[in-house]
Amino acid sequence: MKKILVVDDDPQIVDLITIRLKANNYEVITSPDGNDAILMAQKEHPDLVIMDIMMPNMPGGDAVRLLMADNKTKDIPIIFLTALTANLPHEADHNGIINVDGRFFPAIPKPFKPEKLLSEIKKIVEDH
Amino acid sequence: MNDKFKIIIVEDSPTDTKLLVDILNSIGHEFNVRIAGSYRQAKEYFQDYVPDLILLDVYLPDHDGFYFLEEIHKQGYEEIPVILISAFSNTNEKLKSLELGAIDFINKPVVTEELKARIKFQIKLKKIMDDHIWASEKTNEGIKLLYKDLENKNIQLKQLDLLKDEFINNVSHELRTPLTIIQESVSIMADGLLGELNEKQIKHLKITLENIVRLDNIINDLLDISTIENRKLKLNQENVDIVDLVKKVVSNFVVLVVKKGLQIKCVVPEGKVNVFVDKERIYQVLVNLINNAYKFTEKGLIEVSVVENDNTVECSVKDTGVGISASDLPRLFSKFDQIARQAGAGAKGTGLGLSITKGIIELHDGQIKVESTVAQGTLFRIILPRPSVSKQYKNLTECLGEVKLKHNNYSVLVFNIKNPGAGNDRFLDELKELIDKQIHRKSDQTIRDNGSVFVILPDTKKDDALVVLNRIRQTINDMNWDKSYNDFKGFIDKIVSFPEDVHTEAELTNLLKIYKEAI
Repeated sequence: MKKILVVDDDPQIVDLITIRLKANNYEVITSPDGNDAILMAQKEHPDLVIMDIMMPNMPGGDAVRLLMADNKTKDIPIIFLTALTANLPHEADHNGIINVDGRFFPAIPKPFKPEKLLSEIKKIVEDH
Repeated sequence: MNDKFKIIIVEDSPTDTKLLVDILNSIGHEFNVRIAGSYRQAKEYFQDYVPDLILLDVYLPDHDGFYFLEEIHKQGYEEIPVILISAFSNTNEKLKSLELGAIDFINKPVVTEELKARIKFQIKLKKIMDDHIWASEKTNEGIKLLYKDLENKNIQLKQLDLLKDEFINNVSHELRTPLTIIQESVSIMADGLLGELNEKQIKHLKITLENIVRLDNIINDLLDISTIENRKLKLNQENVDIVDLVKKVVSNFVVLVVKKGLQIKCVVPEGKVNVFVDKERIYQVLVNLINNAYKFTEKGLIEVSVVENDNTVECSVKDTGVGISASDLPRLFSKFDQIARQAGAGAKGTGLGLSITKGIIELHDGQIKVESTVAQGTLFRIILPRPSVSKQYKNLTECLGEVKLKHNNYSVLVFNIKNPGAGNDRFLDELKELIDKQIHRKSDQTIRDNGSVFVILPDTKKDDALVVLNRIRQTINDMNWDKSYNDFKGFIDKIVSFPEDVHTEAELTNLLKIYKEAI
């Protein structure tokens, strides 16, 4: 079973994504902020991280930088899930992309369509 | 305002002087009178006493009156009225005095009533002038106050506007979080993840979900219009095949349109039609227009077409719907103004769609036009400029500008296609793709122009750039395009390095232009 780390400061969003992912046969672990997410990723080696951006303690972008800098975690795929969507396509049928220091990660705007999130997850974890 | 009328009498004869003073006293106005026996003395008075009128005897011991007139003009006192008093013997003398700036003359011996009338006239004139000056000074003061007031109000408005933007941004973000929770909660229920539901329950959850999407669209519209209005919307312009984009959008609408019993058709030229646009934003525009056509058409056809003109590319959306009345047309693109078109239940939007569309098109230096007949249908035409070399050079210049800020030296590789033309430009796309795969540094940039591909290599000396160029040449060779395609004639390549070859950005742009025109 593939293991997914869900990082979001809103516990209700974490709960809902957890229900959705478990129903689709994924194992789910969660973190309320970037700091905790890094520790969790180092310890649990998830197959994928779903990362919010606006979070207290450490925003998602910084957390991703730290994950990229650590050999143990640098290859873990990441999907951004964020309400900060000024530059993300809302109309287009494809997902957005966020560039963190030259590496590109898929980004899904909130509110998200569950099928969009699930297909993106499927695409990534099946590749790995 | 000083009511006393200031006079200088320039007269050497005490008798004549007394006569003049007596006449002044008989006028019944308050005067401030100084008497000068010579021109020199009169000129000295000017230092602290500028009169409202000069009564001037033409013949005095030191000079004649004409000399005095010339002098006071030279010193900038030409505004002071001068009445000459003389036993004028001939008309020439009179004309000369007028020419030199005297306003009037009185013959000697002086006729009391005549002089009184002339002086009274001067007093009246001065009063009119003073009133006028006073009034215009007051008006100026008023204008200055109003101006200052407007300036302050403008600053306040700008601050309010900033607050409004910030507010809209924050609120949009804050609205999305609860909306996400509502949407996902309802989705989870509707998908049966929390237990099985009956059909009616599912139907209502689906309605809820549809309206969550509507709410999200409204938030996006508000954000869009706010960024467009503040000219903060940044376009991500690139060469985009508009035919491909139109086909993609239309295919997304097919199911919806057919379900409503309508037809949708694409009329496009064969092959690619490139425009230099922000793909996401033009996608959004097409969705807006087709969605409008869909909403306001009950039967018939929606036709989306692309037409190439000499300097523009026109993309239009035509429907056979309810149409827009002539009186509503002018308000069509204005913000929040929803015209009274009949739409189906749930079809009402924010009224921002067309303002956003217009804003996006205008940011692309394009135009949007509409023609409509009630009960017959509507035609929206988007006219976009064709990709122009100069514009893309600007893009190149912008990229170089950024590079220059951060790096002391850089090289640019230029690949021009030997036989440019609509069909052959596809090789440039393929070349760009090849190069993108070959360059690994994130600071390297590839720019696709309508006859060339540029590769900007920061921190790269000419020798190193040559290594990169040779590698790319080899890759092109390996592709064997010349064997696969009849119309492939190859590329002409160049290296321009800074600071080895050029010293300024302008020099570089010029050089690149010359390379381009050389083919």
